[in-house]
Amino acid sequence: MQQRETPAPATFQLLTGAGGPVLAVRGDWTVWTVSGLDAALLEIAAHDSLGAAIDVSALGQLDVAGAYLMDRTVRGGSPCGYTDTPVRILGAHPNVERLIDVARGAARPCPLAPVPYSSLDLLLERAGRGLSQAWLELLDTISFLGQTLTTLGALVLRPKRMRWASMFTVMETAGLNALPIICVLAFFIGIVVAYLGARILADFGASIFTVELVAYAILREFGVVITAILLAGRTASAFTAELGSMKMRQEIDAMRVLGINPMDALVAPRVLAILFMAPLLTFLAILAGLGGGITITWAALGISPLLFLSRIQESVPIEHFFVGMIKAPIFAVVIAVTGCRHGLQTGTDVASLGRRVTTSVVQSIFFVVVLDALFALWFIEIGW
Amino acid sequence: MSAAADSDVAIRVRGLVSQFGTQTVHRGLDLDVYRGEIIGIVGPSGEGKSVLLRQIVALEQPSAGEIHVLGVQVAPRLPSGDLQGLDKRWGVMFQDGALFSTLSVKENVLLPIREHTEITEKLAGELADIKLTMAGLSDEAHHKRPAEISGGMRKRAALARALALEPELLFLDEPTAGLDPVSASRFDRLVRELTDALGLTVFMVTHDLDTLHEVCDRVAVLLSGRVAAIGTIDEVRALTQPWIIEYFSGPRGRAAANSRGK
Repeated sequence: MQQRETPAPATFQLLTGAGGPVLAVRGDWTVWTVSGLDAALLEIAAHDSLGAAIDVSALGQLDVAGAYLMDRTVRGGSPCGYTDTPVRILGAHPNVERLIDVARGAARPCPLAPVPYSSLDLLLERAGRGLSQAWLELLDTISFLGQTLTTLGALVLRPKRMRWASMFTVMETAGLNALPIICVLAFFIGIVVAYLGARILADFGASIFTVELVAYAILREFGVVITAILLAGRTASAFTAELGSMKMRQEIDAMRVLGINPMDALVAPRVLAILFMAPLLTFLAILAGLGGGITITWAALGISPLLFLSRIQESVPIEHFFVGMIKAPIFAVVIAVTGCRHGLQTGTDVASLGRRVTTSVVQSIFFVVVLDALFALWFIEIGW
Repeated sequence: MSAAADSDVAIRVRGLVSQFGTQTVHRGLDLDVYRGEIIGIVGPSGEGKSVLLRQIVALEQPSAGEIHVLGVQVAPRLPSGDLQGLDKRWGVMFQDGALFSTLSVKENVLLPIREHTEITEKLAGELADIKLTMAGLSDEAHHKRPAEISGGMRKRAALARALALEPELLFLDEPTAGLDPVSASRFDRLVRELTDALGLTVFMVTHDLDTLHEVCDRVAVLLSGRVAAIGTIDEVRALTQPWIIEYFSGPRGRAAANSRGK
């Protein structure tokens, strides 16, 4: 098995010859050996070795990196700029002239020195950029929402154009397949709320009100919020990744030139599928959450499931259930629209896809929580 | 296989068999690539040209057969899995460039230099600039992301990255595919010049007849899993195998041959 022989270390000497300075190089000058020479060569380049001849009689292997260093040294040490002075070579070497030609052929004009910015400038620039970015994002979200709604409106008028198969697939993958995880999470949230209630209300001798606490919390907030957050994490990201990779592979462009509107073909089925599935998922999440509550009240407080349910019937008005359910389709649309929008806005590189997926999840959770807070205010005002 | 011949052979492939499920791509393929030559691999689509390239650079293992590159056994992979520094002696340019999209063009070239040598950051930057300019990329392009430059520029950047560590062996997968004829012939000239100046051995998979005429010292034709013909382009053109006749003497083949005749 042959191996390249160990390279001889690269060294040099600056001699004074009859016709001026001579740079005598020795050993192998390759990308593997020249690392130590850089500083020393730069030091002599500025004046001592300017215009020096290169004595290559003791030179071993040479590559572009080595040739570049030699050339840079004899023409003053600058990494850029053109020069006409020919290199004088002393001694014989199979390819030194050629390689120096290559290195010289790759010369570039010196770039202009960049204007220095103060850190305050940079800070202000970033803040400004961030602010205008946020504003543009908001406008974009609203305009995309509008576009989606017009698309859906047009589909209602012409339901034949609806991609039913695509919609049912999404209903299954994004809806049905999310059911187990959503129910398990809601069940555990029910447990947590019931425990909290049992502990705190016991101090007031009002343990029985744990039932109301669980019912209010699960019906109004947790059922729908858990569903929405799961959908945001699971489905918004999937939508962005799917549409984003289609965008990257020019599939979206292909659709457009084939006369297929991606809003019709891709966005509408996804939005509708989530719109239909979210209320169902929320309903089941509510049942699972109540199940968690029942389990704990039964085990810790000895309230039987039957008592739990009949107490809910007596003392929890139906409005609380509607408060949760009304929010479900609205959250669903927000999540689906955010996911699809970021997918369609993916650029052509991998990094932008990653950024878009992250942004889409963060934004949809953000919208869900903010909207939920606004809803809470509103429902309190109307007395629900 | 005498010891003398060994030193002239850069890549030696013996009895290569590649099977993917029920499909056999290579059936006992033998190939020698000599040091300092540019060899062009041609053949119909699906004949396993790119697979052969991937096997030689140790990205895939063949089902049977041996591959030696610069005297190092690549397949079957030695139990140690050690390529004995071979990966620093070859440069590979993939079809679409395979530039790292999160890095700028210049950082793509810097990456192998930073990773494998002890060269200072500043000098490494200068070397990366040199390599990119050698490959024909203007200064503005050096700091752009791969997604922001054209396909032709990406190919040049990929070539610069392949040349970053001054390899002895250069692998090019369809180097001119997707380039306009002017850029393609510029790219051909660039490969030829660099090869002559740096003394590279080049293994090139290509469909471009102009490239074969312009650049390649020898051409190997892969047909039904073997090297059906190998030699200078004129030797191969003279053969009477039907696919070869159709390939070299079809309208495109004739045009490429004529343009060289002028």
